[in-house]
Amino acid sequence: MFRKICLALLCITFGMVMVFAADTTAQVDAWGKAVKKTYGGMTITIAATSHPAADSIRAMEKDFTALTGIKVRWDSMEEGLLRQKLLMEHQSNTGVYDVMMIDAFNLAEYQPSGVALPLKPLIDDKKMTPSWYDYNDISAAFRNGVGGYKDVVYGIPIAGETRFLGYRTDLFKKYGKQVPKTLAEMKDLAEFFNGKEPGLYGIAMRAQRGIHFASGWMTLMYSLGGEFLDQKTWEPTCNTEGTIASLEYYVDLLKSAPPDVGVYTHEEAISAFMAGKTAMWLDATAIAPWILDPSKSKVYNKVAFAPPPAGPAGDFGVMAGWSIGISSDSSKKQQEAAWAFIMYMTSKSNAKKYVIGGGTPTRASLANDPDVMKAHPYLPAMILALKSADNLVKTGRTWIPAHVKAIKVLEVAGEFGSRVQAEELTARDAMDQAQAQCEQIMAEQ
Amino acid sequence: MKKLPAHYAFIMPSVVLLVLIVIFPTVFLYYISMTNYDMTVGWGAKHFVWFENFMYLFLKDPLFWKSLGLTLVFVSVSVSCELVIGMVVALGLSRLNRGKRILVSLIIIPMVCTPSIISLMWKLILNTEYGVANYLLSLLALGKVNWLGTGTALASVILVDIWEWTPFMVLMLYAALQALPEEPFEAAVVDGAKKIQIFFYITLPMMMKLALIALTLRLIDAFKVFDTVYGLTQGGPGSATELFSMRIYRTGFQHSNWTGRASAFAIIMLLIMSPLFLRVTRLLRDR
Repeated sequence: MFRKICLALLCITFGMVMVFAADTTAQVDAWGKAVKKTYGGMTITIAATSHPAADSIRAMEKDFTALTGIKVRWDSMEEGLLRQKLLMEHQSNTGVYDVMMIDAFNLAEYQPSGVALPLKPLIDDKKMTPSWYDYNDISAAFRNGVGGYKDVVYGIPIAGETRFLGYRTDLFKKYGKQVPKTLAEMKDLAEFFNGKEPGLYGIAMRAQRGIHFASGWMTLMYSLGGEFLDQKTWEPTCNTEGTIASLEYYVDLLKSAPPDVGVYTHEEAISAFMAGKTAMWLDATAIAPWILDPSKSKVYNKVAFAPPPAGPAGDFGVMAGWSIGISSDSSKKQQEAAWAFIMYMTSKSNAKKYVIGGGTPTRASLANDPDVMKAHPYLPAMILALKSADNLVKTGRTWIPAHVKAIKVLEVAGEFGSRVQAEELTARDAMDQAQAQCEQIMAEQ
Repeated sequence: MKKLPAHYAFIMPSVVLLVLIVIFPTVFLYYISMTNYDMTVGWGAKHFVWFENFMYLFLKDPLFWKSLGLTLVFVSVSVSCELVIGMVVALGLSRLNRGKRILVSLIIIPMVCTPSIISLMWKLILNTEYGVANYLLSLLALGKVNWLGTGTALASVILVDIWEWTPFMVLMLYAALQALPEEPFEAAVVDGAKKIQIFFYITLPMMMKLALIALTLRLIDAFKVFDTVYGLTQGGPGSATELFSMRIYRTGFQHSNWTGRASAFAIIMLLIMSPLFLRVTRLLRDR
């Protein structure tokens, strides 16, 4: 009897899911027809960067054009250049781009001059955003931490990411080593593996002068008791004991990295790890699929992932990522066509397709989906890393300080940090100089 | 009303174009250099700071003088090497009887490639771990070289510049050699002059003017080199390759966004390079 009831319940559930899916498909088709009628034949231009999220969206572009008749033109560039281009195009009010990828790092900079269009009016408009889109299904942490700034939504998160540790399981097994739980253990392991085998180094991270150096350093900085800005008073804190100690730790750690790490961005760091040159790698979760791709990586079948180790000041992970937004400079009709594109690509109905195609899961409904887990075996480690990121938020701070001048401060800190790594200055001298410059930056009107 | 001479109508398009693409941006640059304009804050928020940006660069910027020094080293080493190698290759080419066209076509390949692509290509070639340069060295049983390390990065940038721009020198000098009259050389041979004497007393003086033009053009170009450094090192590690144009870019665009200060930087660069421009103009006029 019990089995019969269970079977009946299962059939009903399955039936409901099928009906819901069919219903959603019909709704999407109806929406597509309506969009085609108004915006069909238009072309929208996207300012993008090289990222697995962009690749996944691009793979769905044909379906979107077939459904809506809106053509899509891509302009892909390096992420630093993307930021400059968006700022310059906005200053010149050219309206060249309709859709743009927005690094959460840059939202504070885009906000004052209004580079991106606030999206809440579009999200709340039932005509523009049907219920099957389900905005609230996107994890709140990503909605606010990646796509929003000062309670205004500027982008829909497409790559909510954190940072975690990738390590070589074969080497750890061979030498009987355990996954590091603390930053001290991680440094010991990096030193242990450095030169342990011919051509092997301890760890790969990003350390190119400027923002890349600051970004790599910030991965560990909060856990080591450092920060660049006091996020309550907005006073620079570059030369506090905690910040100096975190810089000294990072520079020491980089001594176990390949010798030209001083010119490494995230691309060179992951390339060194994928080429089997380092035992560990600590960087963005969004690019982890590359490591597991046999066509790109030599170590695809001998890696595992773990959350970033905790430090003496706590266990504070990283919350960063990319969102996709609309330029405030394009015409109203272009903006509406751009929203149709964004909505289609980030909708609940396409979420699974997007994730399996290489995008990062940002929706709560996909958190335990078996197909998604199979496509992204690193997800459990990423979820743990996101919990570490929550720890930082609980202290009232964000990983990227939410201030319009934060990026300038990071640029200065990264410049001086790199000079310490190049042995031009001691950590204390460098941070004293950085402090003076950052105080000047914060004081400027 | 007095009628304007007819030739005014013919030169007017050029004048308008010149005003639009040269005069206006230059005047605008001077104007911006005296403001605190910052792209992230917006045009409306700027105000006049007069010569504050210049004073900051001269007195406070920790890397202004260093970047100037590094640029002078870069320019002098790379351009001298390009000149010497260019002269040797051009002389070799002029003595060849066969295969000149193919060789010239091959030689100019680096020069016609996009500099940013070249720098990314060289970044891969010079990667310590998986670069071709160290792989070739390993075949010769030589150790790994950290090409982009603190002590070697500037030399690597110079190496890439020499690779890219020596063909320009070769072409210019080869063209100069081809244009020389044969009579002085025949007379020198009859008088029993040695090859080295012919080179220093006839070849070199006769092609001096074109060689000077080529040298000055390269000096100007090398002084404002950007793509190679941007792609290879972004001015690092530390400040090992922070050349002048890279410093301007970093100040104005790469997160600092001090557009006013970067404009002041650009004006200083313009003033340093102006004598070189005048030199080229004079050489071309005298030719």
